This record gives sequence, C-alpha cells and structure tokens, in this order.
Amino acid sequence: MNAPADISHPAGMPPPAGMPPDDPDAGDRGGAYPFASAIPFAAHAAVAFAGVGWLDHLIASLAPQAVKQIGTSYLIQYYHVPAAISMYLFFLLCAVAGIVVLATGSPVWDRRAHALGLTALLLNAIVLGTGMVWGKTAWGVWWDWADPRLLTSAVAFLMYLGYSMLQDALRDDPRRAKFAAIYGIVALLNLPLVHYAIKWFGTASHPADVKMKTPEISMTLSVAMSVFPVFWLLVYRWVHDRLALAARAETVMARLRRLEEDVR
Amino acid sequence: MTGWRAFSTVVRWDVAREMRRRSTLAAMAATALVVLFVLSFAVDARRADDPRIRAGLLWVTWILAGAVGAERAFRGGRDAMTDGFLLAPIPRASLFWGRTVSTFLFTTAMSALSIPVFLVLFDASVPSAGLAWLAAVSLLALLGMSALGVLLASMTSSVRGGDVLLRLLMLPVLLPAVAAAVTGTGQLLGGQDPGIRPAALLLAFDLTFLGAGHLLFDHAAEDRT
Amino acid sequence: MSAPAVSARGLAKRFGPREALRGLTFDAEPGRCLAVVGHNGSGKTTLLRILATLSRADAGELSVAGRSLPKESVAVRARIGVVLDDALLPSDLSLAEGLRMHADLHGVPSPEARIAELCERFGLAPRQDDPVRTFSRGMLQRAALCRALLHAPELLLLDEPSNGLDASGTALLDAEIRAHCARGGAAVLVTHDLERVAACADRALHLRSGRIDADGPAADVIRALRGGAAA
Ligand SMILES: Nc1ncnc2c1ncn2[C@@H]1O[C@H](COP(=O)(O)OP(=O)(O)O)[C@@H](O)[C@H]1O
Ligand SMILES: [Mg+2]
Repeated sequence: MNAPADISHPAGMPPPAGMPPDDPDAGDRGGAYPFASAIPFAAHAAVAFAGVGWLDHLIASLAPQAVKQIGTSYLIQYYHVPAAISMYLFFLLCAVAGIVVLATGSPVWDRRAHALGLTALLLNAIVLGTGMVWGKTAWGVWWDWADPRLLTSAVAFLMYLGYSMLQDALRDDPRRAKFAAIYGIVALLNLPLVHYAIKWFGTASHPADVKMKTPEISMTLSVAMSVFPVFWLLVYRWVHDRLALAARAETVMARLRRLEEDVR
Repeated sequence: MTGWRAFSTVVRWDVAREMRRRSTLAAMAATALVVLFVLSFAVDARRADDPRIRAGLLWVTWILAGAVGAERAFRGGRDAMTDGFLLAPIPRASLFWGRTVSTFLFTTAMSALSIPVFLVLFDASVPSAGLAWLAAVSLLALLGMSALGVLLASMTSSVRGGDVLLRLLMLPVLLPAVAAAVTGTGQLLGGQDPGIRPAALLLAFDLTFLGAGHLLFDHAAEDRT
Repeated sequence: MSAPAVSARGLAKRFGPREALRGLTFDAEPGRCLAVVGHNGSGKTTLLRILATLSRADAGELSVAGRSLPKESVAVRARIGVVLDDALLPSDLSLAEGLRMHADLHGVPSPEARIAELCERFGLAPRQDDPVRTFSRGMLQRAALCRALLHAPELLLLDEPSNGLDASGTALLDAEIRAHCARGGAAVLVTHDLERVAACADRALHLRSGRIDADGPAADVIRALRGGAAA
C-alpha cells in the first residue's frame, strides 16, 4: 500500500529565502486531508474490500453444508450482518469520542472521532451494497422499500455523509472539531428514532430477518462477527494514521512559518 | 437574570424584530407558496387524491420553508442579533430556547398561512373530527424541526456555503419526524384514526433535540467569527 | 477595589495549526486603562474575544472582573462592556430600540432615561429613532460605545474603538475612557493608534506573534515602538 501522503504539498512549502510571503497563512492545505483527496480513500476502500472478500472466502469454507446447498448468495449475510454490527459500534464510538472532544477539546480524541466517522461511513456503504445484493437475490429487486434495515442504513448513510461533508467544509475552521462532534452526537441520537419511524410508518412488509437458525449457521456467523470488527479496527487505525500524518504535516508547516516570523 | 426572564426577553425581541421587517415570515411564506404550487403542478393536484401523498406534499413544503426560517434566525456570521445576544449575561441555553420558540412561532405562522392555499389548490377539506389531533401532530413536528434547525443553523450560518450544508445536515435527521408527521397527517386527512404512534414518535423527537440543543448549544455558539 | 480586573496566566489559543496566542501572562488593574498594541495578526482581537467570553482559551487561567472563565461566563458578561468591529445592534430596529433590547437583556434600571442620556452624550439624539442600517461608519462606532456603556460595566473591552470616528468622536472616546477609569473602572483598549494609547492608557502591552513583547508604562512602550520604527 503506497498511497500518497500529501505532506509535500507544494503550496504549503516555505517560500524561498529572502522572499517573505504576503500572507504567511496563505496556501492551500486542503490536500492534507485524506477525504479531500480521493486517491488514498479509494485505495483504502479497495484494501478493505479485498480483505473482506478473503474473509468471506475463509468463512464460506467453514459454512455448513446446508447453507452451501442454498447457494452462495446466502453467504452475503456473513458480510452483511457483521458489517452492520460493526457500523453501529463505530457510530456509537464516534459519538462517544465527540463527547470527549466537547468536554476536553482534546485534538487526539478529535482525530479519533473523525477517523471513526469516516470508517463508519465506509462500513455503511458496504452494508448498503451487500444489503442490496441480498435484496436482489431474495426478493428480486435491488432497492427494496419493504426492507426496514436497508432503509435505516440508507438514512444513516445520508447522515454520516453529512458528517464527512461537515468535516471537509470546515477543514480550515477552528470550530471544526466541535461542530463535527455535535453532529456526530445528533446523528447517533437520531438512529433509534429512525429505526422506530421506519418500523412504524414505513411500508415495511418483510420480516427483518430471514435467518435459518441451525447451530452451524449461528456458529459461523459468530466467527464472522468476532473477526469482522477486529479487521475494521485495523482499517480505522489506517484512516486515523492518515489523519495524524496530515495534522503533523500542518503543525510542522505552522512551526516553520512561526520561525520565519520570529526571525523577521 | 433568571433563565425564564432571559428566555422571554429573547423571544420578545426576536418577534419584535420580525414584526418590524417581516423578512423571515415573508421569505418563508413565499417559499411555501412557490413550492406548493410547483408540487401541485408536478403531481397533478386533480389526481392526487391519496391523502398520504397530499400530506407528503404539505410537509415537503413546510420543511423547505422552515429551513429558510432556521437559516434566517442566524443570518450570516455577522448577525448583529446573534452576537449581541451572545454578549448578554444570559445562559446560552436560554438563547437556544428563546430562538427555538421564536422560530417555532414563525414556522407555525407560515404553516397556518399556507393551509388555505393547500386546501384550494388540492380542493381538499379538513375533516373536523380529527382537527385537534391534526393540530397537535403538526405543532409537535414543527417544534422539533425548529429545535433541530436552530441547533444546526447556529453552526452552519457562519460557514461559507452554510445554507446548502444546513439542508444536507438537517434533512436526514428530520426523517423520523417527517415520517411520523406525514403518516399522521395523511391518516387524519383521510378520516382515519392514526392512533398514538405519530404523536409518540414526534414527542420523542422533540425531547431528544430540545435536550440536545439545551446541552450542546453552548459549544455551537462559541467562537463565532 | 484591589482584585485585578483581568488576570491572565499563560493564556494560549490556537486556530488549527496556527498559534494565535502563545502563553500570555498579565494583569489589568481597576481604575487603570491597559492598552494592547501590536501589528495586524498579532492576536489582539483574539485576546479581546476571549476576555469577552465569545471565545475560549485552549490553555491558561483567566479571571475577568473577579470571576473565573470559562466557568462564570454569565457573571462576567454582566460586568463587561464590549466594543467589537461590528456595532452588534439589529440593523432593522432603531438605535433606541436596539439599545432598549440590550438594556432588557442586561436588566438596566430605568432604561429610557439611560438611553436618552447616552444618545445625548454621543451626539446621536437626533437620529436615535432611525434604523441602525442607515448609520454611517462613525455613527455606528458611537452607537457601539453607547451600547457598551449602557449597563455601567466595571470593565470596558474595546477593539479599535477609534475606527471611523472623527476628531470630536475621538475626543469623546478619550474622555469616556478616562472618566470610566476615574470612577474606578478598568479598560482594556486594543488599538494600533499610538495617539490613543498616549491619551488614555496607563500601561501598555505590546503583542508580537501572540507573545508579549513589552509590558510597561504606556509612555515607555510608546517610546520603544516609535524608536523601533525610526531605527
Ligand atoms: N477564526 C479564525 N480562524 C483562523 N485563524 C484565525 C481566526 N481568527 C484569528 N485567526 C488568526 O489568529 C491570528 C491573530 O488574529 P487577530 O487576533 O485577529 O489579530 P489582530 O486583531 O491583532 O490583528 C492571525 O494569524 C489570524 O489569522
Ligand atoms: Mg483585530
């Protein structure tokens, strides 16, 4: 994995000696954020997906004979369910990190919250994708208005897309950490309301689960569920380290600028 | 100054300012009128006799017009009204409650103004039996919308491109309230009994975001530049 | 009155990677005017907004008007009068109404008389029933001073208050600051106008890139700055 780290953004380079810049704070540091530059993000997604595919392969070989006979489409559940569970876990952690940010102003927890939110968004996309594949095989349509869980994750996706857009729009704003934390909390608080709204007022007609409960399936699923979050914690670390690297680069640049100012 | 006095002072002066210029109400009413007209044209009002669709159109109108109102409550980072209030010796929470209530009053006025237009365009009538329920469901939804709008707009209004951002952030969060309000309104318009669920969900929505605003507004209001 | 009007210990504030304030330690005494001078971008406005509770320091200890921040911010806001670059009066309301709004928020006793007195003193009486949006820059600055003085604050926090003022307005400003200090009040005057410092201030802080470069009697700091500029 060799994604561009964006530390050597040319606009952020110190100006040549003897030529002080008009505004020492000029210069676009946008490229320092992974979400702003799509390449590392896409690379990230690819790695994640490959990892999941491999996992699924592994799990499929463990799957009980009964399931294999139904067809591999059922195996998508082994992606879908653990991904959904990890996703909700990440939503929760993102809001908790946000509360710490509001209470302490800690930049460390801000970065954690940011990385958790972005990873949750990626998970959310996978949940939606696998949910749609499952819907296609089970009910014959890609988008099933009658599947309450699919609708809930779609609303969550819109909210966390908003979260990442807020992070991005406030890139250079000193209030970014606080505002993102607030929205992360608001989004989490809304999830139970979304759940009940869709359950009560949606056009849902299918039962939420069509799981076959044999001991083997439950066992396989629980293996998947214990491995999946660990894998996604690794992905989270990767996103987090990207953000940390970008922040370090900014701090170094700011220090250089300050040195220049002090020398002048 | 006690919280209650601070709250009522905020409401009183927000309303006084609005009465002077009526700019927020006018902007909201105009938005409501345009949206309602275009929508009734788009879906062919003569054939939209499903009460749920009618209710949906009404709520889309109110949400879009309400977002205009929420934005206006915190117009621009250089909003003298807001910064002046931030320097007053009142708790931030009082400012949140006052702003929420004044926004609620404006959106309610806008909604009330748009109902006759809606009834005329769709040749609809409100069954008198469920009128109290209809009002209760609508008011609960508008209150929750106002609270959420004030909390989010206090952040986005001082950001460039904030009005677009506000809608992106607000609409998905509003979904539960919209679903409940549309279902409740639709059933009442169709002469059915919606039961307790829409009102219960709206109440939960209101309590959630009034509580969130009460606790978080302090952070949202700080460091306006 | 012996407690300092402002007591700052190691005040720091950063905007992202940029450090706007880097550990400021100073006091402002009651009955004195403290001037804060420095180049554009040296952190003067940032400091003033923190003192005015509109912003929060990342580190350091701060008490304003004898109350610690950020804990007792409501009590602090009751005791300070603030002038920022915006007049902070609703532009659709008349000056008298806008001042009335602030008087209500501050719980000023007999507000009508107080507003009439201030408008008279700042030469705004003939225009006090006009909407604030029709005011000129200098009139807005006078209106902002009225607003800041309305509730007879203990501490004045002024950010470039002489901006846009004509000669008579400037003289009025100097006189107000001196009268306020003579009554035992304190003032923090942010300005790049050394004339104002000479006319009003007892002490001056020179900020440079968010640090205190010089802190001493106003006359000494002015001399050093003028000398530095000449050299
Ligand atoms: N809202 C803000 N966002 C980012 N940087 C800011 C913000 N406000 C001030 N700064 C930075 O802080 C430094 C000090 O600014 P300021 O206190 O306004 O200076 P002064 O009032 O002395 O001219 C400047 O480098 C400025 O760019
Ligand atoms: Mg300034």
